[in-house]
Amino acid sequence: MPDADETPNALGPLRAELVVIRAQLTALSHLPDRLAELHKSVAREQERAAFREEIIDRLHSENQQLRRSEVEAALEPVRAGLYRLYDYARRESDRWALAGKENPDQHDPQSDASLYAMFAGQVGALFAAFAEETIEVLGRTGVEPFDVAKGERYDMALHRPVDTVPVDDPAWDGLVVETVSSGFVRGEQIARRADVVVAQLTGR
Amino acid sequence: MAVFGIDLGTTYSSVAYLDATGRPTVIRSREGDASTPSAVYFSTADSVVVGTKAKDTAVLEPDLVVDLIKRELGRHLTLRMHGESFSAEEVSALILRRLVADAAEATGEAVTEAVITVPAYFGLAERAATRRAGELAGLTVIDVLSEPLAAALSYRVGESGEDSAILLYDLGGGTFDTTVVRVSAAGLTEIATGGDTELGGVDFDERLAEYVVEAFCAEHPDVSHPFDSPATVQDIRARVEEGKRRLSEEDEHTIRIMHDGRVTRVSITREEFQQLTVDLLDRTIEVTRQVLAAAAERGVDRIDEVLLVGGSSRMPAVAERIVTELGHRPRLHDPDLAVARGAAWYAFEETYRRLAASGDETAASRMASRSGLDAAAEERIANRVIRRVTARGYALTPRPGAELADGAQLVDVVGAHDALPATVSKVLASTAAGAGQLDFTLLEQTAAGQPSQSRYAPDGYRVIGAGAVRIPGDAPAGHTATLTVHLSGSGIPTLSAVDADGAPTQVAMNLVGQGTVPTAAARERIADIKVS
Repeated sequence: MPDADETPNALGPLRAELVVIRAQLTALSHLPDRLAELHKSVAREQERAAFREEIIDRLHSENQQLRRSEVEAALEPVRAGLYRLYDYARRESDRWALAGKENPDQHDPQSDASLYAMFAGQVGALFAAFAEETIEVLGRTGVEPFDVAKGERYDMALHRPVDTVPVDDPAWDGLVVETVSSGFVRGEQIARRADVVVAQLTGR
Repeated sequence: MAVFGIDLGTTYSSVAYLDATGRPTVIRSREGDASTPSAVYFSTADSVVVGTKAKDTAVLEPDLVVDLIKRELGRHLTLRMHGESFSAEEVSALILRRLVADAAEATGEAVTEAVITVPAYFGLAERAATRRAGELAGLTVIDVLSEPLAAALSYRVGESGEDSAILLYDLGGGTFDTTVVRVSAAGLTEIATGGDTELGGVDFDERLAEYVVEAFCAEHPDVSHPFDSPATVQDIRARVEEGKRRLSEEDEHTIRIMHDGRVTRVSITREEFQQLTVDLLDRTIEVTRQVLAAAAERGVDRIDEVLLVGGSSRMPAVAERIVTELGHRPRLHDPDLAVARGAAWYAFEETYRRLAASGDETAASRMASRSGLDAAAEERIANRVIRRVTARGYALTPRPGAELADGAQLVDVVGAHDALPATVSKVLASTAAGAGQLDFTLLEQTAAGQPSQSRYAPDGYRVIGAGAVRIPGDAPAGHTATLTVHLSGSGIPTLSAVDADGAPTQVAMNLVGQGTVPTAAARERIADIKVS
């Protein structure tokens, strides 16, 4: 049996320990709330992390696509310049070829008119060759020209109308009468629509 | 679910959204362009083409191609196409449907909610018409936002939290606008705005085209005029656009004109180009001075920053002139798409704020985290406010059979540049027994003293709406009702009324240009039209 006088002293450390335990229990009572907060925060971070992964995957995939189309994009201004060069060469080829057919003197191959016609024909052929060369270079970049036949029905997917001409014959209404610039395709895609002049019925 | 920002432009429109990395991304059209011409070709009454092909078709079918329709929003306009009638709102809805379809295709998501931008000078009727166009296109319109505010948001102004005043100088393809915006930690406020709807980059192109064609004609007077050949016209247009662009980067550029077998090389320096177009630039500076003066009257007499918007503001002369006039080196970043990008930011932020305000903080937080925003950015967005002001003043006037309680002919609803939202109540009284309703007209201020086009509007005003408040059929003369006009933060009006005894009573109003067909039926009609 412990001495009665010693009991308070013996309980002292126990009481102190009890106070500590009580304080710890009080602190622990906040634990579920803290855990819930922590859980929420971790869940949100996990969600963001998962989403970041998703983004990285998407960016990676887009990067691959971009690399593939980089060359295409770099070629586009070059193609635009070549289209223009082709348009000029072909337009001049047609004009000189037409001049070569006008007014040749059939009876005198040495007359000024005949010499001019011969010269015009040669210049026309030269421009035609430039146009062909340009088409070949364009072909190496993956595009091919397509021509539009006179009388073909106007199609806004393939043609870009730049002018109209009035016609009296209803059969010609809405048909292409002239191609101003050729169109181009890349695979199955229209790279450039053909510039055309379209017939329109007078008074429609 | 992504929300979208749409720059519904006069000549071109763009759509953007905040992508998974939290950055505004402009959606490419199916033709691969960042913007789509705001042109509609009615191939039949129930099938239309929108965009580049529609614009091109104007050569063939000018009567079936509609462009610049934005200028008609909020006005009386009925277009007859293949025997069917279309309003400006409906045509705009068709443009929006094409943009929405492209956005859905590009993102793989259904596009159901969007912010649509409008010019700062758009009044109440135009804004309401824009919202309705969005609704007819099947969209839930989150808000209708002024273009300068959208552009300012795209420049991320106000992130530092410091108060400042900024000037937005927007020189687009066909129009010029300039606006002063006050920026603070609390948000953005429009202070003053002005513009010229007949001035844009195309005018600069035309000057350059005239210059090179004159040089060609002087050198080759013996051949046909270049403008007589469609092929040459197309070529000159492309050359001049390129020339203008090159002169923004280089001091000198040579433009070659080839026509009818002849060639002219026209060398032009940047300085010469600036001389050619100096009067056009002067016009923009004059408008800017007027806007700065109006801002000073409203307490903003110092500009801290100038932001450039619109593709034509890339011309170095613009920045140089602004430095001379205002002493500020303006900021220029992606000016063509600033409005669409800013609208996308706003659509995101506004949706976030609405979710948070509705108590759905989990959804708001998820939206933020799925766009890579941290807690600080979330807090910044939550606290940001966009404060709008009315572009013009509005007034109410009674129609025969009704009068204002104090006998006045006209009473102000809100003044020009008053803060939005605003709610105003006015008392109307009947002048005869058994009227059954009190008719009224809503007026919008025009230029001071400008002659009125309507017998219901005095000079300096135009009619933008007409409505009626129902009162008991057996009410004696002098029976009163209180009409309340509420203008939302984006300037869209809603009306309510109470009878003399305080009981709610019916009120209806039609805004000019707004069809009488209910929205659901009109939406169904637009949905039945094939848009490609």
